[in-house]
Amino acid sequence: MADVILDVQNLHTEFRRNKTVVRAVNGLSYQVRAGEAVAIVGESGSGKSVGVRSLLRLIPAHGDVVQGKAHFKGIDLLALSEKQLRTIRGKDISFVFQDAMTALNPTMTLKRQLTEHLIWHGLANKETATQRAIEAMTDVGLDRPEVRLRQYPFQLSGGMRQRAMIAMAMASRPSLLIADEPTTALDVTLQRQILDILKQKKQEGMSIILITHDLGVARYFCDRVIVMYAGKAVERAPMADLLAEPAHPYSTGLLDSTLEIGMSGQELRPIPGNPPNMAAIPAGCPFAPRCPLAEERCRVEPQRLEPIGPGRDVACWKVSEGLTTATPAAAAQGTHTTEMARR
Amino acid sequence: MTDQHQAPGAPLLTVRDLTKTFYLPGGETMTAVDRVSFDLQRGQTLGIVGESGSGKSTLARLILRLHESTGGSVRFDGTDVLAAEPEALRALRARMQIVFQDPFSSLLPHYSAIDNVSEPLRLHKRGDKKQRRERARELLDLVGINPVMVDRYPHEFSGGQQQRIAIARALALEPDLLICDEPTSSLDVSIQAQILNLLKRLQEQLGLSMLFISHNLAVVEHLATHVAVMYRGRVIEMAPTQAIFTTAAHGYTRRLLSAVLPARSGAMETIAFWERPPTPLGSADGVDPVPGVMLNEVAPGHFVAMDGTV
Amino acid sequence: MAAVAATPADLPEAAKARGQYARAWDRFKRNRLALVSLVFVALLVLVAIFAPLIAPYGYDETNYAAIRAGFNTDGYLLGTDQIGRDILSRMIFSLRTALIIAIGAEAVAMFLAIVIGMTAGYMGGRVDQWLMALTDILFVFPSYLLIIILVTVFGRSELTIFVAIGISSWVGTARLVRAEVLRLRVREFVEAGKAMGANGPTIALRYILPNSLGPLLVALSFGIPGAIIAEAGLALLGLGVQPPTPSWGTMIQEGQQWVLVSPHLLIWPTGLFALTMLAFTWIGDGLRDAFDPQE
Repeated sequence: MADVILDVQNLHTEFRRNKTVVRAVNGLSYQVRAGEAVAIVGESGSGKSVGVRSLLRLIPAHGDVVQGKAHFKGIDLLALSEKQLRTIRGKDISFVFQDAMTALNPTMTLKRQLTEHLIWHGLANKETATQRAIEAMTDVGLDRPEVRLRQYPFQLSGGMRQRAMIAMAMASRPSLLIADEPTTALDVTLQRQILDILKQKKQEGMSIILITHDLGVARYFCDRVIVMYAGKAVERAPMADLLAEPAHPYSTGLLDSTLEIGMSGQELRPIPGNPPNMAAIPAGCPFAPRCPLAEERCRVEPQRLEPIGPGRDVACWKVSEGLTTATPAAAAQGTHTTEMARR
Repeated sequence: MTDQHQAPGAPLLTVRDLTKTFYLPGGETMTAVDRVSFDLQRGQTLGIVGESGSGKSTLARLILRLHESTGGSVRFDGTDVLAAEPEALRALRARMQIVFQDPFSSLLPHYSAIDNVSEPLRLHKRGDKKQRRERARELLDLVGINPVMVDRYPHEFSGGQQQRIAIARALALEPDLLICDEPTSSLDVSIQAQILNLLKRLQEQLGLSMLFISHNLAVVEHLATHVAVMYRGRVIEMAPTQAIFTTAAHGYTRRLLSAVLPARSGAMETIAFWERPPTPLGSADGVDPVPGVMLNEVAPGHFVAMDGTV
Repeated sequence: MAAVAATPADLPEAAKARGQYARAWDRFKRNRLALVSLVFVALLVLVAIFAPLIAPYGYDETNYAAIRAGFNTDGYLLGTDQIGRDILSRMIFSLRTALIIAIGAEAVAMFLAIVIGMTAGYMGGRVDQWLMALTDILFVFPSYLLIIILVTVFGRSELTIFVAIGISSWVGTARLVRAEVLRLRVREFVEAGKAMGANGPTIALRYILPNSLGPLLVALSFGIPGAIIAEAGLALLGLGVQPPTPSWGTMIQEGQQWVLVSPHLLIWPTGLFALTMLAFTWIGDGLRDAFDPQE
């Protein structure tokens, strides 16, 4: 376990409004090693985004990190003051958002947005900052960076804005990049280009956390994957292992719901029902109401992650106690298996 | 009524050279849909794929005359849709219904689920109030909405359930043609699969003809018998579904296919012809071929824009 | 083939079918001040309706033996005015006048605002331009002047006064309605309605209007006290409702002449007037919060 640069332990984040408490993140733990890309996968409301934004306090004002530790290079981010945090945000840890239009400041030229934080963080002076900005822009495939620097965000196309935002995140050469659904709003051809940039950065040694709902996107360059459901990690696994052999019933369901070219004529096996109301998460395993394997024990006993293989753990007693196996062929062949409950 | 039912075998929907030009302030024009032509036979599903701005959603609205087109013709079961008088158009619309991308926005927020589904029946004066409610209840049952929930309001349902209600409403008048405009794009993966299964089942049970618009190629492959690929307002390739996914001829189609990122191993290799890395110069959005207008038939039923070999 | 149906267990048990107005009411109720104000206003309305039964005297019953009687003297709880009329009874009947003027004026204003705002917003184009030009003209025209002209020409009956106030106060609300229509028009349910075969009036009145009632209610809660104030202003200018019909305006106008000798002639009506205005403001605030879309 060398080179762990981010170690999040037992993170809890709540949102309060009137009398309702939404437990968006409910005991989330994960690590990121140097040079590694980790995907956090889940559906809307699973807490995948809050689970990462909480670290840098990029959550709405009525949200609160109520418990947990998040050591980044030995410093507990959650214990830092806002002022101390600011010295890390945008320098050692950078963020790429889904919507570049709202993430970039419409009233500022790219030059200001790309250089200001470099100067502020003391990474460059006025002259070298511009140079670094140009490098960062060239890096992400923005042509004529000198011209672009004088432009405002609205003068760029959607794809270029997304690149500009990535350039901004990269310019400080962070050791950790957090990309929150960076391509969800983009067309497929554009998505591929943006992911290629991130893949390249990873190969250059940057650690990346990719938040996505799309297993295809996650698979493209991530080494490991954390599957989240109802504010918790239900499975953590090497990317290839999860896709070849999902262990948690939710992971299986997610993969079985994923439609792919070449599956024509095959019937999808969706997960029945809907995700839980996060203000009233069921006791026991939150997935139990939708789970084909659920028994009484699942409904009462909270599930914790238990190791089931190298680098792999799962929050389902049925799997970790060996009462059921995941289905190896499911992913590779695109066939769907139902005999999970057997054995 | 101007309905002249045509001989069996005649297409349900015939679109010819359909064009929509927007006049922008400053005298500029933007042709969102450019001379699009196709036939849709009864029981078939035509998938229309394309990226944002390709004009696929505008095309759906032109066919329904939610927007007025600038040129071309649309014939539905032998009737000229674009020339129809208001009353005739109303009757036509009863036979072609649409499901939108955002179910919450498309349902009436102040009507309960059952009232939303009854509304088209009320507008077309089908049955009395009691019969309409009865029919709406059946439809909601058909799409999998629990009968105890029918009096709830749209905001009380999840996104997937809202889309089920919207589908039930679209089916209320027993349309011959169902147009789906990105019906699953705003839904989570697991819910998307539920809705796709529902649409597939309805397709089989009711023999619906469909126009299915999506940017998601896998979704289109799953539901469509034929596929038209749109690029900047034009259809640049059109073929039976199988042909599009195995022998795509136009460079843009192939590019679109190769950009798809499959989650399952194995699938990646079959369509791995991503021949162009991010373009460093020129159009950063990376689309270049300017398609011709004329479509060439390269195989039976497989049409490709003239320039279409990259 | 198994249809995948959503199970009812997915929804929180407590969830009942509740429309947007029911939810707005739930939020309104949580605002104590607004709720108390609403109860207060409701009481005033009841008093106004049953005025002849409640008032101890007639509003024009004079008693020259007890002129400007003080608090609780000679059987007059709040005393009498300069010609010996019971102040309490006159205040009770003033409520009636206020109610008639407010309801009348707001009915006129709301009708004009909805018709003109909806037409402008829904039709768009030329019609919108012309109607908005009309509202612009009325907007810059001093509304008091307009009311005064109308009242001087058509007389000081309650009908003239509320029509005059109504005609001079619909402009802001009309713009509000138009803005609401423009906001809702682009929602897909309008397009969906068209696709189902709904015609213009159906879309405008059945689909769009009910969804813009929230802001209209807020406008109404500020319009009502506005109308009452307008009447009081007219009265101060000597153009209020024809005496002897009492109104807050005329009572205040008469009372101020005696303020040095018998301040209670002014204090009672002014106090109730101020309280009522405050109550409406709080109700308006409560409504605004209740309909605030961000929850």
